[in-house]
Amino acid sequence: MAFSRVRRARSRRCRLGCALLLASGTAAADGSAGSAGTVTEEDFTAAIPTVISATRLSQPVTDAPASITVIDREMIEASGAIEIADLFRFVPGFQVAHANGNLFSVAYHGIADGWPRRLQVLIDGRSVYTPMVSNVDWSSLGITMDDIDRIEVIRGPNAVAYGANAFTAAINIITRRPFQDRGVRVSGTVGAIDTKNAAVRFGGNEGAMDYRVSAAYRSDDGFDDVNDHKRVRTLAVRAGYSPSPEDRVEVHAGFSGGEFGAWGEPGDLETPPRERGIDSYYGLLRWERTVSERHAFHVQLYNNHYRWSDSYLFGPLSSYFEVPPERIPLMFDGQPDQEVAFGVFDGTAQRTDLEFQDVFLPNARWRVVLGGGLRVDRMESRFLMDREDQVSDHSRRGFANLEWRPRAGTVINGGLMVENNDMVGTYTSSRFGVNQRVAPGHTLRVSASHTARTPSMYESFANIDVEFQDGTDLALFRGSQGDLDPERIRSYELGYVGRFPRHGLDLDLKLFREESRDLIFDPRASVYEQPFAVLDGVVEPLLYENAGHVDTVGAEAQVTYRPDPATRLSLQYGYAEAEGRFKSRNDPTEYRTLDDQVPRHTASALLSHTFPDRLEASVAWYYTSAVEWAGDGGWVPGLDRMDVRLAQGFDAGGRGGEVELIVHNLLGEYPSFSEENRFGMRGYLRVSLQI
Amino acid sequence: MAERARWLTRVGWLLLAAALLAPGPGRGGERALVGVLLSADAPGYRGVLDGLRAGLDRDGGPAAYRLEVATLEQGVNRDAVAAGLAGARLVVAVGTRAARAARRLPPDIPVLCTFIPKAAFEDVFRGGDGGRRVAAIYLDQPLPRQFAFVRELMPGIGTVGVLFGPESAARRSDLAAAAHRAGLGLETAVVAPNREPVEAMKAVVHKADALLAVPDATVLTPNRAKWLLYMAYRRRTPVIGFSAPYVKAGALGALYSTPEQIGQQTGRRVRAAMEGGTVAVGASAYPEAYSVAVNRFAARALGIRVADEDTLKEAVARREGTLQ
Repeated sequence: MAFSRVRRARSRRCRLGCALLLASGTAAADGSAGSAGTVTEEDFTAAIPTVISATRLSQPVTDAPASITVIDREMIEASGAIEIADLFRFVPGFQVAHANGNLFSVAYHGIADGWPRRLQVLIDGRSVYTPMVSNVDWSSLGITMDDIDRIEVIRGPNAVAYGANAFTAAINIITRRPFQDRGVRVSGTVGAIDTKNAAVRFGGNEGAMDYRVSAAYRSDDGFDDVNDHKRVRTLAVRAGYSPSPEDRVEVHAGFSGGEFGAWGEPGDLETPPRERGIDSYYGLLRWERTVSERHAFHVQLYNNHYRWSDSYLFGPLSSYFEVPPERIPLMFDGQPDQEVAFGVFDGTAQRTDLEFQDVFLPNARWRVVLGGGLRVDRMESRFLMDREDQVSDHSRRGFANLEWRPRAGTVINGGLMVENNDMVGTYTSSRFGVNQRVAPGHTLRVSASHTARTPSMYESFANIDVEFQDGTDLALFRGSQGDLDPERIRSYELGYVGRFPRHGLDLDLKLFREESRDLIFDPRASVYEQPFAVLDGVVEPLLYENAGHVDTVGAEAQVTYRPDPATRLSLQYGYAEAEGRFKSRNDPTEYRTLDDQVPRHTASALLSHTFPDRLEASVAWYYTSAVEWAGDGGWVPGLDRMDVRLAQGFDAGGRGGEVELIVHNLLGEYPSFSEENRFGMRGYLRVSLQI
Repeated sequence: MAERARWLTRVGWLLLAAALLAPGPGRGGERALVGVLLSADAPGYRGVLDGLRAGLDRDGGPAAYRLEVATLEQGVNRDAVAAGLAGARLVVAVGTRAARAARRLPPDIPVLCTFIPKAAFEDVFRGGDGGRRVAAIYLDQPLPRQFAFVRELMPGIGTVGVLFGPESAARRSDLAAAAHRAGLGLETAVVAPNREPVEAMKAVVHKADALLAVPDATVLTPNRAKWLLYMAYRRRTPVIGFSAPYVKAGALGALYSTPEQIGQQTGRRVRAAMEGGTVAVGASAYPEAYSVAVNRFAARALGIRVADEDTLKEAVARREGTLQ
């Protein structure tokens, strides 16, 4: 047999003694075998890299001090989602809106504009939060939806585990391991809003290293009559290498480049229609080592780089101020009428982060996680900060999480994160929780936490002013008070997790109360004195300051029901009642209530069933009650949306594939984020082939 | 007088020489030579040797047989090794490579293979070996015992999933029959050579309540075993391994025989074989003694309650008796 001839050529290098060290690192791709491919005693004694151990396990949901929602691969596929951001509709308490065709607003418990900044988002442990505009760019993540294995969402403040930005919630997007995607897979999607997406993925291995490369191109025109198209190219690589059963080295790298319609109205001088270029690339290197069953650690280094290109000339000033051109030199100290350069989203930002984390179990009752990290954030933007040089912020952090089991059925969790950065100095976050099993399969949880969020570099250094062509300041549009304090949130939770395996039911309920203070907002500063007195009261800049205060109480529920292996129903519901306001310290008349920015009800459901002959059908339903989106958004009435997906798997000459028909929004047009975004019914056809 | 003294001295030397040279109890000549050939100088094989010595030892007295131990080093001429054992009345071949080397011995020397999987033994001695008396103490466990273990480890289980490769596929029907007798459903997939096993793994993982790892050199290499464990863990499906390293890596549990246990059984078999005029190696047999290991972290992660190891062993022995 040709196969065994190939095997015989490879000599058996592993003896039992060295099998422990070399088992997974032998040159032969599939491990050395007997000279004719026969099982020998070495197969019984070879060491296997540890997959499940007390240290490698993620904490079971029943032991965690927070509510966790997992969106797994099955849900991702059944949802028929085209955009990654839309997946978060399945998390209780979350709101998702298409701020425009390429800008997605994802927030937990409201208080969000087009760039929600109080959510930590990680991809395989790497934060993708952009310090420059303090948000997550869901269109330029640098991974494709196909790359995602599952998404873990921790609902509630969680800085002790996920760092400063986990103010309202933390999202960890976990991509598939290369071994899960072997061979070549191609897919293409066409459909509504002139969507044309294509993706190709290739996975393979060389000896003890496995890798996956995925590339995608996405293009669509966004909402009708809105300048919000996107054309994005993505390339992502993930490779892992296990030199020994105890070690694993992971390398992730990727690139995303695109052009995006950046709103604007023809004839609008301040914001003409234009196209924004966004390029980003990242690299991550991580070494994981299992020292023993009770001790493991990892060291991780990553670098994210972003470049935004969106600067333009607007004016001339005479048209903008609607005065004859001759008046301009009189208004502005001799400056001739001119066009002026402007660009809010123009510049580069970079984040470099080094982290170490150690997990060990001194005995069966304790589990300790200790770690620390260093980070450098750099930003350069003439338009955002009114300076030519690069601004940087250095931060350091240390964290500890302790888990104690005084007796079976009781878990006590305590965590502390201490961070220090150049902008605000030192700030801490902490969390404490007790989980008690009250009956087999039923756990009650009580937890309290305090989380601080440092202002982002943008919030601290924003200085968006407009200058004349010779560099003289004309007016300040948006800036920062400077000297901002961290935002703070206190959260109290009562939770319940129940499993009813005989009925195929999983239940997760929580009651919560959140008190946020010193929230950073940008109220209009009418008392600000512009460089030119003629503009006082005409151009009122928005100045960031710690002006907000919100108290939210509510409840969330999550139910997963699997009556049989082919059927799955998940239901999510969130209720939140908020009382909040922001009040400017400079200008007491700048006062706004925030109550309407938190939607009262959010709900979703996903029902999927697999029929014989590889036919799958699923229905998804989403509901968000009326909410006011801040910034460029507006008040939108309650939305009620239903999506449907039909998928047929097929085999074509030994290759597998799937054809999917997806329809979004069967129930009628609704406004998304603002009245001008009319979300109608959208149909898509997707074909994928595994070669 | 001097003459008598010289004579006495000569007799004394002769007597001494006779005493030194004549074979006596506790030395060379009369004790039968049992050759032991180790496949390599490594802890597993040495463990078997230790067990063997213990098994041979009767009443704590001096060993009844002379053991000549040889080790197959890399590059050492197998023929030379075989030549060194040519005077043995019985050769114990520990491991697969030793079994292959033992074929080069003169055919009148009986061979007892040990610490070797049944499939490997059958492969090495396919079609006999010139009429040689040969038998084996297998390393793998009999099927009724394996399924008894599965039933005792996870009482609620309905279907067991097994992944086969081209070589282990021959055992598929035996496995199905044994599973059926144990009251378990069997979900299987065969991985073709040169094809990636991941798709087959996924199919089986989705349909089974637990996975039984079956040794197959091409399908479940240590790296792939890692994938299987990971995939099964994500689906909350336990994996039942076949060795201690499997349990350490994350399998819920495993039933296996240690080198020492195999060695002891081999030693007892050698003793029995040498008691009689002709050396009778007897019939091939599965291990009698075995150990049970459970990964408590995996059990907790999967929400499965498992009895302690001793209780499990007793329960397996009882159930195995009913499944023979």
